[in-house]
Amino acid sequence: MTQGGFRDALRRKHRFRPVETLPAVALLAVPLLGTDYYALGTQVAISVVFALSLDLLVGYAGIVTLGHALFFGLGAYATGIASVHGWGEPLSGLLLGTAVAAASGAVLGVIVLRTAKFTLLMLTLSAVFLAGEVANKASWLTGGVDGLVGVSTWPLLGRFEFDLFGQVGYAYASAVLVLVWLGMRWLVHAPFGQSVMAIRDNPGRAAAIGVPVLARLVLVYAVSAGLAGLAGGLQAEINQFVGLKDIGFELSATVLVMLALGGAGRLYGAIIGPVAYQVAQDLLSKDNPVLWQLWLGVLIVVVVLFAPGGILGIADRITGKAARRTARRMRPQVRT
Amino acid sequence: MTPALELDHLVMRFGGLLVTNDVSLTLHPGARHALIGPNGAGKTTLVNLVTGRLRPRAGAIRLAGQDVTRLAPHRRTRLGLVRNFQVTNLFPSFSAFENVALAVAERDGNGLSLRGRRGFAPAVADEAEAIACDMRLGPIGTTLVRDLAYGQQRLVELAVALALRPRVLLLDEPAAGLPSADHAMILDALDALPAEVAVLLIEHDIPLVFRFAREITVLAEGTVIARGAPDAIRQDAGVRAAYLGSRA
Repeated sequence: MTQGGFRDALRRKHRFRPVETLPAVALLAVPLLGTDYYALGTQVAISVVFALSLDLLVGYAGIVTLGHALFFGLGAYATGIASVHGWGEPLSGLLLGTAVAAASGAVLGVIVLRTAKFTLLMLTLSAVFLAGEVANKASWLTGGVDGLVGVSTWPLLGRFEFDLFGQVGYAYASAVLVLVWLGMRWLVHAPFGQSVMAIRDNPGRAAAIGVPVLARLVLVYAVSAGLAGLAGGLQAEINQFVGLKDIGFELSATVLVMLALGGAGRLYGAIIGPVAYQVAQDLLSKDNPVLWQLWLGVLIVVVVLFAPGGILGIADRITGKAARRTARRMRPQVRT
Repeated sequence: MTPALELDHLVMRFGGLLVTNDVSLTLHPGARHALIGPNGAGKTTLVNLVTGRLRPRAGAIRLAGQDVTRLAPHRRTRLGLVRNFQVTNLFPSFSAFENVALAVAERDGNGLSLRGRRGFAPAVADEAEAIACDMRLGPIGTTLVRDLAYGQQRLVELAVALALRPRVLLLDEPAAGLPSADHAMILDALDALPAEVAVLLIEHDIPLVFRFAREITVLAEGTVIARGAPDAIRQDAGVRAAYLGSRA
């Protein structure tokens, strides 16, 4: 191969594919379904932001966690509590939720990222249980089991009132989602993202090429926590309510399941997973209010058993077969 | 001339077991030094002490005159102390070129950079490709390293090490696991190393050591038992005894 072959390869690998515009198209399509679907669409958009933040940890940095709802909850409570105490401006509220969660992520990261695997899993699990219990006991601040009531979000940009149909909420959540998605795409394709994936592949090797592994993981953890907090703040503002389930283990597990369903480490899995999960949940629960969780469970078991790479893994296998066939034909037979 | 690497009376113990017993070693720029010794002599421990995975109980490690005994491994790398690994140790989901590019980016302190939407800046990509092509990795450069043959992976290891512009290069059995027919490939690569780099080769394969080294240190049971030019080592009675296991 001549000089410049690497540049071409990088261009091919990191190029923007037309299919990547599909999520944006889907966002634009929801209003066509009528006002009935704004609430579901908003919830899905928030989940996608949350799942994207988790993908940065699990898929890109190789950090396993069962406690990511901790940061979602912190962001939600920070934004919500500010609103209850008289500051309901949505954009600065989001910023506050993000900052609180990111700062907590940095502090917690310094402590827990010295460990790995099961220890790390247990520590993150303990963290979310602890935080949930604190939120439960500190009812003077959080409302405890009753949840945080009295959240009132001011009109967006001082002009757009959050309406009953959820039209403004949907537009707001969609705009945030697109910005987060663009930011994440930028991050993981930049040299920074490459170095994070290198740590995921092989932390010992990364240290041997001069990467300050712990510091960089803490940074990624803080960014991811901040984005989770952003998703939490977004939900608090749009639903105008924060409850204990927003900082609970169940939410941590659910978002992990959504990500696994879509496929981790590729951004689009974090989009398809929550969409599939919540649309399935919506359809199944309408059909059968009692047994819907069973069918959702069966669906997830089937995907995990037969397609460990998630839904995108299935797509890969279908398109990959064709691609491999051409690659085999094109590749020169090299022996060194 | 300031030595490139200086080990000053290093001592390491695991519990009651003395694994590094007062080892001193000096490498000047351009050195081609080999460290040999039978299994269990403490070679790998010594590598871990030098790279910072382990901290010695006593003694000092100096890199170009600077004391690095208490420095974290990645900081030593930034000061020019580069190692490769006995068992191939790469970033498997990246191509050969990308493995080298990661090293180049990190060497220049661009690991946190958000500039460049194609993984690496064009200048980094070009440099990585040039380094890899010098190692004759050009034809397979865009293949994921996990799909490469073992010998090719060993060459990627060397390319990554070179990309870090080492002042001191620790090569921990660069030919480990390769059939001797492939040793020539590694030796050619070693011959092509920049002359000013100080190289410490830790190797089991004696013909390879004698072909490469200008000075040899022999370690047995944690202690330096001989040091000198290859010819002198070949004649040394103590070394023969250590290798034949009849020290008692």
